[in-house]
Amino acid sequence: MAESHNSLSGDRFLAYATLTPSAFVLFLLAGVPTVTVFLTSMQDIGMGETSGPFIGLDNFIWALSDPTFYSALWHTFVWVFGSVSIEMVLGLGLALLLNRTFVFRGAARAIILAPYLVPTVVAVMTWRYMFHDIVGIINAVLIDVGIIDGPLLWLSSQSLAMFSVIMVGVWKFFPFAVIALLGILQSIPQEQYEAARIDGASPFQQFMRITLPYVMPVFLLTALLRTIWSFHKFEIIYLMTGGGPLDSTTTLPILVYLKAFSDFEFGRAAAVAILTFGILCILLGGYFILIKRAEARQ
Amino acid sequence: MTTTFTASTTDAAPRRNREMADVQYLATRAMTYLLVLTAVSVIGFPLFWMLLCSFKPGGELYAVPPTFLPQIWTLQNYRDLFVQTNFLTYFANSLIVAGGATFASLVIGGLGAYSLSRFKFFGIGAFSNIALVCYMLPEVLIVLPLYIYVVKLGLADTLFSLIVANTAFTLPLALWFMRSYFNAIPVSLEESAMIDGCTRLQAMMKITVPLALPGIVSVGVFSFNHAWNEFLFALVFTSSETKKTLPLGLATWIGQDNIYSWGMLLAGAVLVTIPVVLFYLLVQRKLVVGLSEGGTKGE
Amino acid sequence: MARVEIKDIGKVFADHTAVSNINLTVEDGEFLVLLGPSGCGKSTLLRMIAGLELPTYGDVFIGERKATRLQPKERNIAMVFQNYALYPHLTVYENIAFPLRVRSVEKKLIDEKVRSAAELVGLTRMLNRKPRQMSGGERQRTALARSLVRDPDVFLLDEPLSNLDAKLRHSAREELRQFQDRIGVTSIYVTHDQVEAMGLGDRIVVMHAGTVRQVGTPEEVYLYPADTFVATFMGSPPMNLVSVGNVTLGFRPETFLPETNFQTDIATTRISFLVHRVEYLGGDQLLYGTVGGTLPETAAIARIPSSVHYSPTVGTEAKFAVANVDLRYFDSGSGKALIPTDEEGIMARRAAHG
Repeated sequence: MAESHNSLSGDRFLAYATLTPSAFVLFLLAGVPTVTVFLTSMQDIGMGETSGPFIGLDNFIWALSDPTFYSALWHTFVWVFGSVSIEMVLGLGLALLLNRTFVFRGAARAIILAPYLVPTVVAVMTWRYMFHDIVGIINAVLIDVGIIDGPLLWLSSQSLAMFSVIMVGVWKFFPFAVIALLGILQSIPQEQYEAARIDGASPFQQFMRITLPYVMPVFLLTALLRTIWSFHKFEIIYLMTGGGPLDSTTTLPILVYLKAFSDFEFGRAAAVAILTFGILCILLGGYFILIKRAEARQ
Repeated sequence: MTTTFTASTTDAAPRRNREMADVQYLATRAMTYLLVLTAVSVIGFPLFWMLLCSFKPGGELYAVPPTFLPQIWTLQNYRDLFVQTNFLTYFANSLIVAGGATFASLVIGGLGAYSLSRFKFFGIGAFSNIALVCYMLPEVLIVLPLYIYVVKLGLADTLFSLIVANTAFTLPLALWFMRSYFNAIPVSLEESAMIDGCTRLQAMMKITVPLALPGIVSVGVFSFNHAWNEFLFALVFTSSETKKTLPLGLATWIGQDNIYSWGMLLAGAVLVTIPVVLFYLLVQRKLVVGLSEGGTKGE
Repeated sequence: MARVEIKDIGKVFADHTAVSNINLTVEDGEFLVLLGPSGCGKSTLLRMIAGLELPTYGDVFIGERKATRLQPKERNIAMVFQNYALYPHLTVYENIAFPLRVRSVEKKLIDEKVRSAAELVGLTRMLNRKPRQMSGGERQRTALARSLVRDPDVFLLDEPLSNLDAKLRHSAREELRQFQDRIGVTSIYVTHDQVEAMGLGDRIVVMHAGTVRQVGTPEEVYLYPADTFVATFMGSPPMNLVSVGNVTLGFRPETFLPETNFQTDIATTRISFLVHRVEYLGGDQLLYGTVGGTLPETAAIARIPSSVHYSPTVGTEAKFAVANVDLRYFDSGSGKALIPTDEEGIMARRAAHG
């Protein structure tokens, strides 16, 4: 026997036996569907049908020549970059704040992280009540303070709807950034700050030269994860506005859903879904290059 | 320090340098508290408002301008929720779906994670990467083909289809998390058990699984929470009132102001949130215990 | 109890060879120490005996049984791991009882055996504690009790003392050896600590880069190292090596003394020694310097016991010497020991072999 072994031969059986159920489930529920969605995207599927005649790439051609696709793409970018950038800045600020010592820190942390635990549907209902044109507290307060004269249509005007949806998204998901950044902040060795203080660095210099470089890898990774998740986030927008008014908050995932389950055009929906995934992959590639560069600089 | 030494302090007690006497220190403190107070009140307000308004009677919820504190505190909204709606059915459905998906991903994912953590055979390294890619697949990409299968297999409008679909999404997470929990348990414990007379499977069940329990519990909570909140699959796969889960059930009430009042919606929201928050508080303590147990691992 | 035979064993991992062509016999009741620097393959060899690794080639025999492909549980061996591998979720009692429980031994018998094993290692009053509530020494004794509770044929120990502090290690070593003498079980002990190996082993196997360099009693290995690796690995400070052409001269620091210290009727080799630095250690002093004179200039160390009155002066050449019986010769090319050619050397060898 010249081949090498890491373990006893009986172990090989156990290794594959324990892995098989997982492999089976992932194959059946992620692998096969991915193939199916490609096949579906090349079929002309009518209302109430789940399959139809093959028509090649026609559905992709339709999507790429249809203005609704491009407007959904634009809305997706606004939604992703709007919410992720605000989340990250807010997240870093609050993580720095929670990293200080003060009385009731535990309670403050619990309240600040609470939105992340709240089910999306709950967040949406609460905010929709607060955004309500007439009985909503937001309009009431703004009018009372004198910032606006009359009620704003937060969710039903084309110009404000995306802004409102982003606000709710930020409120719901920024705690993820806080959790990730607080973890890395707490792991910075205190000696670094002590050495910097003895060397005469101001608090701002300490932040720029110690804190920021230290948290940067985690900051970028968190932003990356949030970008991926926001990109195919569906329910928060769907529940806030349903993609409207008109299509002012229709992002790509919403478009897929509406094409498939409202217009019942499965083939076109599948094509849009694949394009969505493709764009996400390109985005991720770019992000990875950026992160690699940032790492190389350090 | 701005404290000055004066001759009158003739007490034998040594003079203390108080940090409080430093102006800059005080300013920083005040600033911190101001910022914390602002952050907490802005971020906490929606949940506070939800809770507050769920105790307001119907008329007050539609008052213009809105009242801040309820003028009349009432539990009417909660009573209506149970009497007039299928809230309890939704609740039970959510419990079945989330429980089923959690159980499935813990058992299947637990076995898989053990394999990924303990063996190094051909294909195993690639598998964990594939699992990660699966986790990144957009829900809307998968929901189309899954819907087609569900319809073709006659599983439409069943809770079973929801359990299966949720498992697909929680399994990759379970695999990755549990693998790292298993990695933290020294292999020598299992080897020792095998020398003490266990088979590999016995060593896993008697030693590794009990030690990984805190980690398994936390993965369970993540899976449960994911399935408890899941909306898209429920929206697409189920249609009848008796098969709706909580998020779907509540969502269909939104925008039906004429039928259901905001009061019931907010009361429902509070009731959906409470179990999630309680669960986390419970697990948080478990996790701390788990970590401290893990700190002495292998000794 | 059993003897262990290892025949032509080897272990090749994907990227490197851990053990190659080792033959070894451990006699019944013997205490054998596998000694070598980290990465020399000693732990891999032990794990193959335990059944945790399958040898790439070769066979392991335990007693009269061929054990190469037996599962660990079928070999009736016990093992103490470096980190003790105590089960953190079980009490000391349950830890010790574990091997018996998985063999479904009768409850009363388990209790009896656990208590007697605990008494043997002095843990009777700690049976209800969890491992994390115990000191390093107590954990080590728990691991010992657990491994011996079921009368194993062979007792394997993988650096069991390395996690203890220096003081404790010394007393634990003594306890361990007394313990082994009492129960007389065949033991194989892995360590990188030569002091431990010398103190514990009936025989020592010195390993390097996956091969056995020398097998012998502590005296043999120390006094007659088989090659320059063993010569420098054993002893602290190591043996001085001075290479003279194709022969390398070796002498231990404690045999390298001022010339005046030798009686005139002993045959000695004079070596001049330039002292650079003196280290006073209480019981003796270490002189660091270079040998010179007729020999090529080479760094060397002399260890002078405090019973010898000698005050060295740094920077001056002094007359030192080594008794000819204490001189060792190695082949400069291969590093292998050469048989001493002078009469006294042969006599000394015979005397050492009894």
